[in-house]
Amino acid sequence: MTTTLRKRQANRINALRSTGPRSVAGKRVAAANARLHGLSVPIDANVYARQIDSIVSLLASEWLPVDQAKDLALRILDYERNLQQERESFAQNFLGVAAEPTVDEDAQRLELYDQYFSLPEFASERGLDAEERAEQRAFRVFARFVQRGLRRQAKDNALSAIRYQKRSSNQLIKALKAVD
Amino acid sequence: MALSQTIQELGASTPLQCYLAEKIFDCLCWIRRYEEQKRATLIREMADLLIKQGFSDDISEEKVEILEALFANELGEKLQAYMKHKGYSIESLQQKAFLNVRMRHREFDELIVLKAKTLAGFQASYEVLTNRKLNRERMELQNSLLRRDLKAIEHDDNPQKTSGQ
Repeated sequence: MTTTLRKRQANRINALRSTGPRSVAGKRVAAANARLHGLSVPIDANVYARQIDSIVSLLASEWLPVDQAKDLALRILDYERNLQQERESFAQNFLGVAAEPTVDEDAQRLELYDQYFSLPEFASERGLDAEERAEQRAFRVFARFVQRGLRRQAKDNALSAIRYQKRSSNQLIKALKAVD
Repeated sequence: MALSQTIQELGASTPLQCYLAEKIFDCLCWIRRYEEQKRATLIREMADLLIKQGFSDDISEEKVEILEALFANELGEKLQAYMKHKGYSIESLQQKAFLNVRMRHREFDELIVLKAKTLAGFQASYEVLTNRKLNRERMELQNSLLRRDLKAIEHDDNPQKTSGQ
């Protein structure tokens, strides 16, 4: 399916409206994104030379030009890297390998914690003085702050993982179709 | 369906075709896995609505019973009575749980859509590879046919040349 001229023009206009990082600080933050998981960093042909060579030798039966075989090998490695990340993230989030509570569970717990500590009898029972109560309040504020950060981070991670996976699979499919 | 069956059904013979068959199988597995996880998330939320999770990560025995019953789709009298006691019917409990986990379900849906798209892409690529192989074989056959014809012409030409001499 080819993109029509009208659609291409519309895409260009929309791209101009894109809200990418504009300030120096924003650009610095965006530049640091690649260092979080490394999924956006291209595969280094020197580092993965051995793997690339073995894939290229396996692709010999396809009678591909060497350059094309190398490109395909790079795409395969990139796709596999993303799959590995997906497996790890699934194991961590859903199979409880890391035994980390989910964000929703944390929110519920925090709510319960809030309810528990805001009870007037709690303070009298345990005999908390003003300083201790202030500490409790500060802790609650801090916990909420962490909670918000966790929620944002979880959302960002899930969305960025989808984005990188999409890109790597598209590139692999494109390279495979170019074999024709 | 096992991976070997998929490879057999697709008739993959070259390493690249086997790799693609494996990835097609992988995509199907992931789609199934995410679907199951969606259901598990909903059931966990339903159980959480009935029994609130405390400070500890441990799940109470009661909750385990509820989870098992919900996973098995077995709504015994005891569970129904407990739901009634908490002010829920199975429908209202499901609705509330759906509402609570809708964002997580949306994430799963996005992942499923991505896997489905990737699967379609791999299937198309597999067809391209198979056609390429067929085209190559056809070309080879045509070439051998041409070579044979050429030899036949050469053989036909030889007597004429000798007669000309």
